[in-house]
Amino acid sequence: MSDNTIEMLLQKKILSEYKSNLACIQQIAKGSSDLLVNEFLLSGLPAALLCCEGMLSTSIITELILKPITQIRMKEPTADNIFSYIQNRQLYSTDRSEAKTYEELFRFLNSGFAVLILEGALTALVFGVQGYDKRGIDEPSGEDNVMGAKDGFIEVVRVNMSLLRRRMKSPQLKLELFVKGTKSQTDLCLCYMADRVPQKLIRQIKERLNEMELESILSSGYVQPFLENRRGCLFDTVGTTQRPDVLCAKLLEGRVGLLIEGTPFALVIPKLFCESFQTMDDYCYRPSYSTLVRWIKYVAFLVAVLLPSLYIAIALHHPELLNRTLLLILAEAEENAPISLTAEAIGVLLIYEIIREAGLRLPKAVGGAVSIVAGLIIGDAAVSSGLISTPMLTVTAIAVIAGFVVPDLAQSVTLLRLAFILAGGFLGLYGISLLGVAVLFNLCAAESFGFPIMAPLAPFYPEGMRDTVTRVGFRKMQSGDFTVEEYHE
Amino acid sequence: MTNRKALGMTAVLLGMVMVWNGCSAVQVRDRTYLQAIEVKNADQTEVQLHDFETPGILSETAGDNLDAALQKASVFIGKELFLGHLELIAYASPAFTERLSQCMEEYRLSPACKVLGLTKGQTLEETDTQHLMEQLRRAEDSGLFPETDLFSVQRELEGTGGTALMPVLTRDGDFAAAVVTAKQFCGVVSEKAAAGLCWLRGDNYPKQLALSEKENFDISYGTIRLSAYAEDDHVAVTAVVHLQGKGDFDQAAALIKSQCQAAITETVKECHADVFDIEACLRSQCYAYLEKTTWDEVLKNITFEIQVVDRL
Amino acid sequence: MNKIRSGQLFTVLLTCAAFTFLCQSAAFTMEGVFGEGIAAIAQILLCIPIVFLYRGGFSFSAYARRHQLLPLIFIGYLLIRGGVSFVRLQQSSSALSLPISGDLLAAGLIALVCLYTVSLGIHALARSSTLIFGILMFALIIMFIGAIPQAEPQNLSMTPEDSIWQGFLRGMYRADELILFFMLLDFCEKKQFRTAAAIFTGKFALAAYFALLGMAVLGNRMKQSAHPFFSTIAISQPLSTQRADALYLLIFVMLCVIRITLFTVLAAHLLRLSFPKIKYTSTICLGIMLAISAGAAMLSLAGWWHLAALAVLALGIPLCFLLVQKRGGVKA
Repeated sequence: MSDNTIEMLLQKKILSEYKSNLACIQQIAKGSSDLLVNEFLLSGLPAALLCCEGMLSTSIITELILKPITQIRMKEPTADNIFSYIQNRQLYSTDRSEAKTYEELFRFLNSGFAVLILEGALTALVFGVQGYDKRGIDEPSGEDNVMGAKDGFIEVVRVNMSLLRRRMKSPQLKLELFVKGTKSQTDLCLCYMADRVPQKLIRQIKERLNEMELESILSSGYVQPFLENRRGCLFDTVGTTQRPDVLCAKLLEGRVGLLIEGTPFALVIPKLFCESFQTMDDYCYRPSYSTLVRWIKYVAFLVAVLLPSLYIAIALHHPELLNRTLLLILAEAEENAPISLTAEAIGVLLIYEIIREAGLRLPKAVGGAVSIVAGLIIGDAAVSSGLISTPMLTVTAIAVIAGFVVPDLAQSVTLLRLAFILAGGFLGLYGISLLGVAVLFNLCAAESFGFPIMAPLAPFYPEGMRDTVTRVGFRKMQSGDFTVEEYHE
Repeated sequence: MTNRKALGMTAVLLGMVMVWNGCSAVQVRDRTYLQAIEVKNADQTEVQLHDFETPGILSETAGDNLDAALQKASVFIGKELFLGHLELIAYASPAFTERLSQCMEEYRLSPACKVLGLTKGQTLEETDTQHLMEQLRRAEDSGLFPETDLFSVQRELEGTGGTALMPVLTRDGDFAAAVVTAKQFCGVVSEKAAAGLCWLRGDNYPKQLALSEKENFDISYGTIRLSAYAEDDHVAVTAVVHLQGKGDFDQAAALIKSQCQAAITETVKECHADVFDIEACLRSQCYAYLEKTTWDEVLKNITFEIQVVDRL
Repeated sequence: MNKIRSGQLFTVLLTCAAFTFLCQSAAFTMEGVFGEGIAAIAQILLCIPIVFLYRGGFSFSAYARRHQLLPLIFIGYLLIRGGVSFVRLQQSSSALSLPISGDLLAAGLIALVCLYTVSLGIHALARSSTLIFGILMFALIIMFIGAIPQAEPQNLSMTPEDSIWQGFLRGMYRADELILFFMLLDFCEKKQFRTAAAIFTGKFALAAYFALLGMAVLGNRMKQSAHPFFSTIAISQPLSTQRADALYLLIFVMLCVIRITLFTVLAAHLLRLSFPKIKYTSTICLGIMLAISAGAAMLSLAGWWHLAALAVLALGIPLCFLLVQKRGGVKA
């Protein structure tokens, strides 16, 4: 059967004649072995309970639906009477709906619902009795912290919604479900606090999502480009988080979250640049310590991006900037290096990227061996043989480790680091400052739905400094009533 | 042209410029970092170069001028010379003094670089310049010798008097303070006067004053303030030293006064030199008087009074 | 174009002004400081008709859409001053020891970066200037810390070779900010007189800071210094074992980019409004500025023409508009 025929059938309304109805369903699902059809008589009328193998709990479906439904005896059984009786008197599950077209029917079916078709009925009843295997709620892999909660989002959007609802019991928390992806029919959930979020933002997000004409949405990365600034910003203008507590905090500030079925990452709109340096731990520690840690992160970011390039620029073009003793140590270390400083830096960074990528993809059993190979062979042997100088390796290692302090910016840091190395190596501090200005302008130009991502630094909002330059105590913060709408331009 | 094309062209252009410029960058290992240079003659310039690692001379070359001599040295050594960390310029020919400013601009020398005069026939050929520098710094830190550097010498030379103070290495290997002009060495001041100049210049004080064989005055705080007022035919400058320390205050005060007096006599009166910012003091406090008379007249008629007061 | 805030207007113009102080070749003098103060007062007073004009509903952008001659004059002024900025960059590059072979190449690289920054619009410029202003303040603090050991307060004295009148003229020669204020107020959401007062007071404070610190540090050496600011930072080293003045290259380049971007953004904006058919306006403006800088040796950079331009563009034209507006003529 051609695709066009299936598409046409999917748009059709459910047939009332049982045999034709079932034949149509089987025609659409032809070739799929996971469609289970349980035919029976429901108060004398032919009926069938359809489900997708592996998506339901068989014990639940037997106990909650099959057993009671087969015991229905009505005096004048018609499809409408039976369906009305089931809907109003039986209530086999808390999540019930009706499918009017075959497209809706299959969407429910493939989402783990049980579907009941009946002779004479123009709709199909669906019961939410999902019982598919899902990952347990676990600590998020990329957003560890010490003092905060240890639960994170999983791949099931409804579970994620419950994680939010448990934390924010206010009825102002709205969780709007909708479906996107012509083939995947993926569930997306728009989350926002109705009393905090600017209505214009919701409208704009919905418009952007409506522009999305994807066939499938398999991860947050499919949706993110549609919500991001189109201007080519070097940094993300849409945030991601795996933590429900973080998302709740963002929602309270008037932002919008987007949960996506199949991925444990929620999207947060808008995202400001300074948020990349904020973690939940900051709000668990004392303000003075949190402020110190915050500043360490800022410095770490600058070190991660600029240290190798500054080192190269100063060593090659401005040696007077170096302390005399340091300069002599450097000169001695570079005496036997066969390649230029710039090439050395790029080589070391590329090797690090290869090792990092290999570490991500390798099976855990081999990971340990890779670490030894990387550390000993590349680190030790290369330096001993004079291929790479110790100061260069040290500088690059410090920069790489500093980059781990702000994992949110890892992509941008890696690219910028390379660009700055080239600029510093070829044009010295002049090149670094030119590129730095260009990056600064790029950052300042970036907006996320009218919110400049450099706020509250540029444009400058003094009130915003209390959670950017410092982290004031909650006694001061509680009186703020801050929402991100204050930054909208 | 679309934005992408424009961006692409810009990136290519930038890349070409960077590579073109950057390929000629001198690597760290291709430089020699000089610690000291000795300039022997001002006309047919001979230079001796010292670096941080080699004891003694690194290279000795001659050229029509300093640039030519350094270029020859660079060829001889086989590496580019870097003077940004130069710590010492030593020379015997007084005429080289007027070239210091040009050297500072051209070779981007550190303003903290030391300048050392050499007496006739003296050379640093066998000298460990690192040790020499440490000795000079030690002498300055101890307040035995006035603090000078390349910038202070130039700043003083630019004054109306055109004189400056700089250290010279005596035949005995000691340091002495000499008054210089752009073209000649005017005279070497005595040890007492040098100590007095430490007070008058206000940069470095001794930590201790030896009052007698057994007695010292330990100085915890010292500062000087110059004030001036104009009278009919002369300017009177009062130098007030605020002193605090342990020991016989009166004896210490008397010693300081005599040292300062010796410094004034040997520099102002005998050499007509302004080596402790008299001009700046007069310009800020007796501007009108300064405008209506010549500098020579001022120096001829100027009077000084030294006061030492207890800071407390 | 969208609106910018008063604070951003302040930082844009101040960072623009800071560049001229960095590139100054005339010696810092006490007379210059007093003259600069009087020039600041004069500029504040000249802002009064401008603010009243805008409060009356005037919009320069709207005027430029309907007319061509006057915007063309402003465009010419902006291009010439932008070209002069490139000249200042080239003149200062020797003091900075740029690792670039060729002054024109250095200017070309700045122009390339400005081509990008101009494309991002005035909002990006205004926001960036806030951050760069912060970096400038930090640099000034470092400079002050390094200068303290070298500073001699008694070097702050009058100079016979200079006069307050000459200082005032020098201050007015570089009063670009007045004309820029006239044009930028169009993009400002609030037309407040106190913004103007803050800008020119800040400019004077900056000038006084550089002058007083420079005089205190350099003393007699000022006369021999081709670029007093760079000589000051060469002397004002916070650490004794290394020279840190190359780091000021970072802030110098940032200020240069801000200044040239501002001139180009405004010139391109006026060009687009008055001559909508012209494309690649930013590229054209930058190209003309570079050409002016390349031919600057043949042009006289005497200050009198700038005073004349100031009188016409910052005083004459706003007053004329104001008079016509009061009579009910000029529309927004």
